[in-house]
Amino acid sequence: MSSPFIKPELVCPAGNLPSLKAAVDAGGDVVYLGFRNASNARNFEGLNFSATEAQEGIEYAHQHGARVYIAVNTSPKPGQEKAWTSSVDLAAELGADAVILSDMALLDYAKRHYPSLRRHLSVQASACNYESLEFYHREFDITRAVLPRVLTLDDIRILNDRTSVETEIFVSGGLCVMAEGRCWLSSFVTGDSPNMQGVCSPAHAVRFEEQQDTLDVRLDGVLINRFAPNEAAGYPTLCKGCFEAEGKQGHVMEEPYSLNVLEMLPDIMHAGISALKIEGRQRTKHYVKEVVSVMRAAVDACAADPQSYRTQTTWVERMNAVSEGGARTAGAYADEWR
Amino acid sequence: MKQHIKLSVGPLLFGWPETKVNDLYLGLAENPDVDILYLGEVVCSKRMIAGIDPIVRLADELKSCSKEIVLSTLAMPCGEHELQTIRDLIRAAGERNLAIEANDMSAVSIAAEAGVAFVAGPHLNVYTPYALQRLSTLGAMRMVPPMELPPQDIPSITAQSGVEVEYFAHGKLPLTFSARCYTARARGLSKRTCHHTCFMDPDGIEMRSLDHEGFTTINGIQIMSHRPFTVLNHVQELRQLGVGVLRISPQHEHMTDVIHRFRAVADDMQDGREALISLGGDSPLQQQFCNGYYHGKQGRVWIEDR
Repeated sequence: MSSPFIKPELVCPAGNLPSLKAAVDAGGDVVYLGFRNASNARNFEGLNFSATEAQEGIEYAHQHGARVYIAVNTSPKPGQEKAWTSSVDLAAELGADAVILSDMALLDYAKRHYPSLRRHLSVQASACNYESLEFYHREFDITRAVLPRVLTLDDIRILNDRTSVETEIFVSGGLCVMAEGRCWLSSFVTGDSPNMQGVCSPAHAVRFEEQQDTLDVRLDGVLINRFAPNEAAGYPTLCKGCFEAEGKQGHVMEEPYSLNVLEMLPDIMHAGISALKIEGRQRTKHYVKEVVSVMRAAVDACAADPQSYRTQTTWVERMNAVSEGGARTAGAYADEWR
Repeated sequence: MKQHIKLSVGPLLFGWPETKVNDLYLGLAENPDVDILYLGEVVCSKRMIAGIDPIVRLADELKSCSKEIVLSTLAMPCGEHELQTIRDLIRAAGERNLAIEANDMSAVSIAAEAGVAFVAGPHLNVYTPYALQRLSTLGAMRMVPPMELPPQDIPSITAQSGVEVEYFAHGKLPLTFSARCYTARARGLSKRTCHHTCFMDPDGIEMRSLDHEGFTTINGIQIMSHRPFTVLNHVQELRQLGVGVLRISPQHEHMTDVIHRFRAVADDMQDGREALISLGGDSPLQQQFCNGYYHGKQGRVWIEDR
């Protein structure tokens, strides 16, 4: 397969205004954000944007040649649709460059009311094949889809050969090991889920319990990890916990590593992918600055000369310094991960 | 007169050898308590060793049993091979005038184009009235809401849609799908080299917390609840919410007993709670079942009747 070489845009996370500015200053092409309510899938305490902050963020980005995408990617609760449609209205009024949506109700609403506002299919819609992408394109005229982290790079290249919908993939940060939008583990354990409340393993359910010689981590009472006294403990996401299966204890679902595709960049740029998404709206301004700077340098270097592109040691060091568990897995993009 | 509640047996979610699958469904064909049978592989295409042929053959064998037969599609078709499986299954369904259960938007799209009626499966993420109406215009004749959706929200989604509602009523809850096979991983294998190791586990394998409490069930690329979910003691409330079909998800043992009790409760021949206690045997209900999603709470918990 010979997909054309594409220099993808870099889509960067912002949980607040300082992070947005850091992402723009570090060379992000696009910043994505959500409003401070349950209308987006990162509805974490202390995160996200008010209307005024979003307006200031969009102005800042546009003044510096960057764009802003706004995620409204949970499903409206029956009877409370207005809370969600008004987020789409606001995104349009503020001059966002695209809205990231998953529910068909909102895709339809946005298409009817704001036909010229780009609609991107959120990863929460879990569209992992070209038939699904073409379906959303036909029905709701989407221009792009964020792909769930279930496909290999080969799968993605083949998919891109068969659809006119642009694709965006995650390239850095926390790794969802399940198909996004198809995971109810969080509501199973805590009652709150990404699809319905916009949260996974929510902070209000987390308890750290100091035992005599361990630190126990519980999520709504369920023991999901146990650390030795000086062991580094990252954010307790359910699927990165330690459990028992087949008589063995360990990371039954996934190690707490972060995603890192630096080595694969030349292949990514030959796979017809339009945009690279950095995860981490819940992370700090410093994190955003570091990861965006490294990815900017890497994408520019690879685009300038893919043949002689090599991952720089300093990039890896900077990524590892800020990433939970170190940035050291290619996740589902590599077949052996499965 | 109260509306007759139909009972369905959902698609088998575990990896069973073909003979065991056939035994299950041919046995169900004789069971007067069951109205609808779902056949087909939802979880992992690697389990379809002989493609869709065994499924279609079984559907043909079941033709004379006067039950509604529905062919279920894969929930997470990733490559061309898996999409082709869905196309073939939908063509086979169309030729036989059967409906399919669409568990991915690709199946919705292909079925709509082929004019094949479909059941909107629980993995389609239908959370809004609009989504259901749109699917209805594309050919959805029934929907299974996502299990995490509180049943009290069902009427506001389904009202005026004309789409029949089927509620996941009993069985281990399918909670996730992944690219990774956790059964293979638990045994030091990978998805590519799995040797169909999940065929050794007719009810999946147990995942426990480090303090040895049952947590979830590993079923290939899927994680399920540890204990079966049940609403045997809430059948009448579900009827009032407009539920027309109760789905029982296949399990290794006691299928006939579970089905029989649901029929008896749905027909007002037995009290739901009594039926549940007799189904559960001696140990407390909270050690045997979960029902939190029914109450809009954590899916894993058991909540006693208010």
